[in-house]
Amino acid sequence: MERVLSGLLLVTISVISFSCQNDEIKPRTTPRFSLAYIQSISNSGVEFAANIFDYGSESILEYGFLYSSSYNPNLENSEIISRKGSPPRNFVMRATHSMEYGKTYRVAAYLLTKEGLVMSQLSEFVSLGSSGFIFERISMPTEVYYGDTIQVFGRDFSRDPANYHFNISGNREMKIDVFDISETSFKAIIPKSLQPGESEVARFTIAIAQKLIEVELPMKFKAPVFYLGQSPNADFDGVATIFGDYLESPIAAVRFEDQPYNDINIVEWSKGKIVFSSRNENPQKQQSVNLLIRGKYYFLENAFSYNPSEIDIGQVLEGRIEIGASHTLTGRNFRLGPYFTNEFISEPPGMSFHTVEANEHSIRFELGFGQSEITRKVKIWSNNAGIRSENYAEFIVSNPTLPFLDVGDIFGTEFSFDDLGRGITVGDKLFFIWKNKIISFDPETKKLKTVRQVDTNVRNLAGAFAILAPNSKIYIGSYNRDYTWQFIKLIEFDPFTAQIKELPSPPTGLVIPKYVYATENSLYLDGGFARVNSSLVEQTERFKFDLNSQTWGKMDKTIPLTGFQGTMKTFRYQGKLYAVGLLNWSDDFNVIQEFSPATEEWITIKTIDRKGEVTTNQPIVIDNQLFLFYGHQYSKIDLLTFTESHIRDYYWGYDQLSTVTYKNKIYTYAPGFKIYETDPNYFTY
Amino acid sequence: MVFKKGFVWVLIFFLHLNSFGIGFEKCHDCFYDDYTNNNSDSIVLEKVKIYPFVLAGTVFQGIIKQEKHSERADSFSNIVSPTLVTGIRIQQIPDIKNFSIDFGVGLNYGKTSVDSRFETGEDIVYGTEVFKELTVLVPLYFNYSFVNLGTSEVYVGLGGIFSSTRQKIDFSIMDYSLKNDFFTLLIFDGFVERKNQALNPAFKAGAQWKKGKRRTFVTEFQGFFQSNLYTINLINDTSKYNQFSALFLLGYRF
Repeated sequence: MERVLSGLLLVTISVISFSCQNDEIKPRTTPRFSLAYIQSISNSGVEFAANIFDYGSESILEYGFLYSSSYNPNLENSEIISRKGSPPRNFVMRATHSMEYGKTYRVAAYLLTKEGLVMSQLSEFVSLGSSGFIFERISMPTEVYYGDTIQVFGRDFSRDPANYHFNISGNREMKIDVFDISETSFKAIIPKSLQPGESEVARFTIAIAQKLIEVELPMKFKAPVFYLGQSPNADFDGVATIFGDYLESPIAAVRFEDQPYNDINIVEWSKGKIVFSSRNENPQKQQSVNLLIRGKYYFLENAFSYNPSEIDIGQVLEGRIEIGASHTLTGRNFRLGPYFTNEFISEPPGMSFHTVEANEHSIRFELGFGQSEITRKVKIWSNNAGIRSENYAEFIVSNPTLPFLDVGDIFGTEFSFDDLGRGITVGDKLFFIWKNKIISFDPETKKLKTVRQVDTNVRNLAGAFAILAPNSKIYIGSYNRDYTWQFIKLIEFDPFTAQIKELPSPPTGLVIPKYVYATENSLYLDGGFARVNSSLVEQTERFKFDLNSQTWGKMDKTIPLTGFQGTMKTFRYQGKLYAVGLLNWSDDFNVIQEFSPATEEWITIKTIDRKGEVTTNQPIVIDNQLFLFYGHQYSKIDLLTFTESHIRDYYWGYDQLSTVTYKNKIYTYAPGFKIYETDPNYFTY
Repeated sequence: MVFKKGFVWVLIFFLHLNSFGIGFEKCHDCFYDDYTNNNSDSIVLEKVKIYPFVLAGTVFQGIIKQEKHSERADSFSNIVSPTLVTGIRIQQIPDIKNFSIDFGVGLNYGKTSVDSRFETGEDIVYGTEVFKELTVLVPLYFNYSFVNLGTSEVYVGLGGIFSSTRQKIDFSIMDYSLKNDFFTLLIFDGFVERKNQALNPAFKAGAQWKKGKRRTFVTEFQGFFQSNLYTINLINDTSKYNQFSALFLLGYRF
């Protein structure tokens, strides 16, 4: 029986040992311990406990608990309560900060060994709040700037950056990131969005979990520094740069000195550089600006200079100075916004410029005479911001008429519609008989000289006429428009001696003669209108003054009635005497008549395609050309062929009685203005 | 605790087996008489005779690998546990000589601990789980006596054991280490999974000796096989084990 028993036992054991599973397991080194047990929860914190099951073989450096509202707490994102060294079998610790009421937190027990972190599975609990952190102080540089680090010291700070709501200057919207967090301090960078207040005090708000503290402390920003000498010159429509340091500001502005309400477009604003649009309504050679930096204004005198606008070298333009005639110059750095502010200067000076278009490479403008005396060739410089361009353009003026001379006050200072003057050309001697003055004019020297002032009660010395006689003397007819004195006074002026002599008055009441002309020996007054009982009545009688005997005689011949007060203007050409004008009121056109010395009669030789009255005192003869000015219309008659040409694109706005000619050019005194020079070569037909 | 108390009670019952009551007393004779006289005093169903038995002994658990990676190591401990089986033998079935049926119910109580380890390039997992198992066994055997000397007998049987187990984890921990992060996470979840109910094929070999008038001393060896019994899920690696249970039992039939 024993044999059977032991046999069965043997079978059993051998079966078992044959089939037994028992792998060899490499020994484990890490410690083993329990979950964090939540011992108690109150409004001041939570107590955790844990048990060590097995210390493992690794050297234990630290033990404790980490807790966080994160689903995945770790050493980085969690609050840690810990002790150094190897733990007892049971250890208990209390968490007192960084927990909000009603929020769920997760906690793990952990041991830190030389080989790493061993952490238990998580336990969850709902917090009833915590005592929170203790603030101690804030450390920062005496003068701060953006990017500087400030450090906040205290106790029981949360280690989870997500728990922080830190800001400066009481702007709760602005959350500043914190870093280098420990239980006793954290750091933050002064953000560029911080706009310092006027008082150099900053309000710091430190909110961690549910605890919030506000602290006001002095915080002084570094003052901006400007390196003014380094600013490069700016183009007018480019950018200007100001270098410096500590320039940044959340609210920043640049304004030109004289435009306090015009915020300039800012291109770049960094710590060391401010770049802004240099476009300026009123640029100055040395431009000063105001800068608004961190709530303070800084006036920078002569902050930068403008580059001159430059025109390309060697440009020659030709054209007229008038509205609608524009001229284009190429160059660079013109003022584009607003383009019409481009400025120029000219030589001779005084021209006015009106820019109608400007771009990066060219500028188009119209010219005005301004108050200047203009020569045929004008030099033009760009002169923006008062800086003259290096190059100039030559402008050849093709206007027939140019301002020639400012006359000063020789013609008087007050002018009336009743004032009247006449120009007389005696070869190279030019005279303006203006009111009661005889003024000589020398275009070569641009000199005007009063050669004779007639002391008379007559308003206008040459009120009736002024003609040049073949004896090179000037005969002047004057009359007054008052009712008491109805006869023309006849005055003889010697252009060479400047002597004047009153001659016997004509024996007629004529005030507006139809023809006034002189031959070698005689002065003629043919027809016209006489004042009779305060009205004008046409006369047909002719009177002749014998220049030798100084006596008047009435001629037998008469002229026909014309019904027209306009006079026939007489001129001499190659020894012959001509008259031009509208003969009869009923005539459509002017005529040219030739005087026959033999019959002492006027013979019409040419009808011209012009109406009205010739406005110059003398019809203008230059070489073989007769120029007839009618105020609005202008003609040229070739005296060799009596062919007529119409002058186009010419307009003269002033009285033309005071017109003289010199060296093929025409000079006209525009009453109240100046003397203009007209070059017939520039007339177009 | 209930589990433990129950076990103590069963042990006391087993140790004081001899002093168990008058009801058994009667059967001592029956066994002998029925065997010789067909005495109607014994528990008889027509010609069939039924003998109750009580056996106690030890279960040796053999764990057999079913599925496992080479980097995986598993170690089982405490694989010997006490067992008590009680039941009836049905014998002298008409016309089937030397044939009997054993039917019973048994209890097995064991405490097991499993240690595991799995390592990859990035991580190492250690696991330890300690658990208790209380198993109710319901064996059914068909026996054949191939030696029958009247006072002693040797037999073999084939059948099956239905087992139903309650597992209770005492302690469980997994140490999950990420090698490069120098980080270990302790996880307290159970990772040994056990199949709780199964019908398992079983066999046995036994011998018996008549002791006195009414008692027969019985010794039996039983074995049964449980496939896929343990699944061990060590975080990212699973191994599976079968179990062969060998029972060595001693006791009496009355």
